[in-house]
Amino acid sequence: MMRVARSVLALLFAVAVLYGMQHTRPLYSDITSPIVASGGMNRRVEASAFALSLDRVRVARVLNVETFGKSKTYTSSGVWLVVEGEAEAKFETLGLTSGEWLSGSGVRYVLTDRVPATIEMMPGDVYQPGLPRHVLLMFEVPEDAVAGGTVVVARTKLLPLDDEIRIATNVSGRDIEPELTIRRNHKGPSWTVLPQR
Amino acid sequence: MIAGLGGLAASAISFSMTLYEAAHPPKVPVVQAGQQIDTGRWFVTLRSARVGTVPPTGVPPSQPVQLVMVDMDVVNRSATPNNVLYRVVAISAPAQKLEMPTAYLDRDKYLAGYFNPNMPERLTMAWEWPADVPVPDKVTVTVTGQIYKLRDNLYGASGWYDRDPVARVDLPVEKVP
Repeated sequence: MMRVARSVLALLFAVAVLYGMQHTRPLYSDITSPIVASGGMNRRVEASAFALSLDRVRVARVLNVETFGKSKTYTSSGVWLVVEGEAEAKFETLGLTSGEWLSGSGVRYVLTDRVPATIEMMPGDVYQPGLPRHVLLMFEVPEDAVAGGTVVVARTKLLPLDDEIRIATNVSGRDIEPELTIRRNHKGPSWTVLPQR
Repeated sequence: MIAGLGGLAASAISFSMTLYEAAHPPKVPVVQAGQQIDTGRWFVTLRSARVGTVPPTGVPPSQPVQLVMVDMDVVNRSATPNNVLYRVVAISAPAQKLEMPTAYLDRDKYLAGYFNPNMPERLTMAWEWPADVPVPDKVTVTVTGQIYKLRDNLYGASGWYDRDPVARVDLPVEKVP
């Protein structure tokens, strides 16, 4: 009798412990989340494999893209964010394929895939150690996701426990330009954002 | 001994549940065109269907094909961009498996990529219809629901999982060249 009661108690205890652990331990996505280096605009933020600084974020309702003599207008139900900065690898050549806009409320927006690849955004380039390179990131987000947004950049989305840089932007979401033009250049920096400011 | 019996019982129960479900398919509500359907992850509003040979890009494919195109409005309600709408919206041909459809963004008249959260978009999904099967006057679109699990049963990871169909919409098929 005593032995049965003891096993039942042990079983109940084990169930309680397992239930408690299931509900208090961090999520799988938290355990395998990237290692974050954060910072603000206009300063170099260092992760272990690469560094990034962002100089400018511009917001527009319409985006015109001019590349190889063709011009196309991209409308949106929200707004376009055009982010420019500089990235540099530290020890080995690498690509930066993942760029996200994390809104103040925690919703993620990835780099737009509507703009043609002839406009080289950040994932299209290769970054060499010691050779900083200009980077361009473009996002399409609803208007209420602009203010308080953070740019999140990583080598890839698929490597757990890899580096990630988060840069808190300073855009208010009130200064929205009617339209911006991204023009592909044939020399010098590979694109220009017009009108210049 | 007990473990063996337990396993046997489990497989018997699972088998009979499958049989029961196959015999009693869940009743899926029929929804009118133009009415918003909540799938969990998406709001989907089916508009119209047509059959043609030219996809929304305006460029006919090099090999002539018959395309069944369905116009719809979608809103991604989850917190991350996503593009796997073909798991949510599906049509079926009699006795044939259709190829994966192609989605075209109405704004660009070009291939659609990711649908960002909370950004309503109009799009056209185009299925290649088998050449030897006549296109019916009416096509039934099945809309599948998805649920969010904070912890899945295998890894404890968060994610969206397919569920049963939530709506069936009958759309008349217009014939356009």
